[in-house]
Amino acid sequence: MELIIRIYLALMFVSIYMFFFFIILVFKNKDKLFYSPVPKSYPFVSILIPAYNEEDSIAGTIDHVLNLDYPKEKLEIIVINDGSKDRTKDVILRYVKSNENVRLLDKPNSGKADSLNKGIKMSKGELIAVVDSDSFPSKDSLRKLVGLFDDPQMGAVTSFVSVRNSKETVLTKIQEIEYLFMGWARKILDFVDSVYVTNGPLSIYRRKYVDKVGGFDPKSITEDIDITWNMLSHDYKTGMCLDARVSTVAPSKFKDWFRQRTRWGMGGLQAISKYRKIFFRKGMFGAFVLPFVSLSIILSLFGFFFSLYLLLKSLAITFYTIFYSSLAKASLFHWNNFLFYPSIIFIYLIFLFVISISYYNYILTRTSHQKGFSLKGFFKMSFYTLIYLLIYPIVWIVSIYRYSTNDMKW
Amino acid sequence: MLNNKYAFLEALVIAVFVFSAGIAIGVYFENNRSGQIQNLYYDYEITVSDVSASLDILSSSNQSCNQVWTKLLFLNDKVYETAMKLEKYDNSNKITPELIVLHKRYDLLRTILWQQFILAKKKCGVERNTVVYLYQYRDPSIETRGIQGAISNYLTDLDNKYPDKIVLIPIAADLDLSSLELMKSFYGIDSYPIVIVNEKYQVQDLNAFDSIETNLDLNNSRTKK
Repeated sequence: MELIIRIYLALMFVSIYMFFFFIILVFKNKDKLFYSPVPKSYPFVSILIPAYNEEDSIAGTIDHVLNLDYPKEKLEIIVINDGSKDRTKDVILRYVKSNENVRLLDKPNSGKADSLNKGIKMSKGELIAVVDSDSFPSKDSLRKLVGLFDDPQMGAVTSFVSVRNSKETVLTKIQEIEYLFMGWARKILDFVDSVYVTNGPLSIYRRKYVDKVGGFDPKSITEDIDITWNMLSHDYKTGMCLDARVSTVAPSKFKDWFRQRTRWGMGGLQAISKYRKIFFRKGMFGAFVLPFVSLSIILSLFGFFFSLYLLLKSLAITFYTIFYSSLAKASLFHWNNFLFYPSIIFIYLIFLFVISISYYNYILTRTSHQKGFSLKGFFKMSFYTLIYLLIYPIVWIVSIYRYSTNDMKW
Repeated sequence: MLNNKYAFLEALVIAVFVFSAGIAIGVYFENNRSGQIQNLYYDYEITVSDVSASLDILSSSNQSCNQVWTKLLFLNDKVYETAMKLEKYDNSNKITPELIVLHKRYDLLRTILWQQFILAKKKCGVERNTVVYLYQYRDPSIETRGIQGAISNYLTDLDNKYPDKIVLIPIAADLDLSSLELMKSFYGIDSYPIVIVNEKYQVQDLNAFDSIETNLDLNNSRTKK
């Protein structure tokens, strides 16, 4: 057996393992998927909204936060203007004047992590909620998340993000489905204490533990990944509630999407590098989260390069055959050139693809995005998955290149 | 959580089972395909021996020559078809070892067929033009695969144009078959891919492939030489 086939089979085994791992966790916990514990008490929550040039969306975000179903006396809202050059500060001031719960922290631009750290210093909450300035938490989201902090080891919890502008372009439609899977996967990983990202649109942190891990790292490109990994590496728990929803504005143009994903990619690589010494050590984080994230990247890249290799090889042979056929004045093609005898590897791949899509369909049904199985939905999902599988490895390649050349600006 | 931690082990058990089942099915599937080719080979082997024996005792009567030619042509067509299938299976078999031994057997069969055609031409007169195509089987470069694809296309065109005038015999030239090595040295062949027309004319240059057609004996009738 060729070496490349051996590697391919090994990675296929890992994929099958991960697939069944997720399936088992779903079925073991099918009654707890949307579980949100009723809090024993309502702790004081400081909501931080860092904003940079968000004059268009900040009002909507503040409105949604003000509308949260949570005792008002247990809530403070700190909107951080991170040196915006547009009218963001004016919009915030309007809310500060009319709502005693809303405060403004106006500071020169220094990035999100530093803004959050300054916001935390100014706040008094036992819990720190972070809401992106282009995100809109649902009314009951905070209440549903806070109950998870009844576990004293819980350091951070995160919500289920949906795409607000999903109908805008094909790209936002794809992202709608992608966000759905990301949220779902995070919930499944929650069952083994392995939520590895607390997202920017809405996450809550226990202040005491944030202080213990040294706050948000201003050097990190993706402070949300970094603080989650920092918490996990200190043996604090991270959790997720599928029923606590927040919507966010996703990039509608390819260029913006690619930029955002490259930043996430570089942030992921930066985090892997920062916590590399914990690999295979320190409980679930070192034994599972770090290898899982790293292996996902490797699998994505290997799949891409393997497909690219097969495609280019086949194209090169076809090119040479056509070129030399014309030289020999022969027909360029014969029907037997197109006879296809599928290899077992190919059949296996199709099998995996089909069961994955069926699983995705199940997720869509469970998250109420779809009622039952639909053939249209199945093909739509297959199309999106294929597009995604083709494009995403390119994001990783660019991220790896930029990270290795220290080109971290975004 | 404790209950969920068993999921790591449970998933491993299921993954090992599914993966092993997949591999087992794959091995069965690939072996079954090559088994079919192997069974056909045994049939052909009998026919080749039969033709060979017939050639040895050929009385050169028209009746016997007709029988031998018919059998040879039929066999050549069948071997050609099956060998083409074998080639495709060989490319798609990924788990089981390469089908080299089976390939060798078929190439030996085709070498014997070539020899029998030469013998039959001598004993019964020219019935068909033999067009033997020796190609590289082991690790051809991408360019060589392109060249060999082009030669296949050309020879398929030729076969379609003169279905009753030529006998096409493609043989892998690098499988270390002593009989084929002898044939190669007899005809002074030291590189491939190459096309040999009626054991006289050899072409390697794709620009010169036109000349294959001009070197065919298209007016042949069975005249004993």
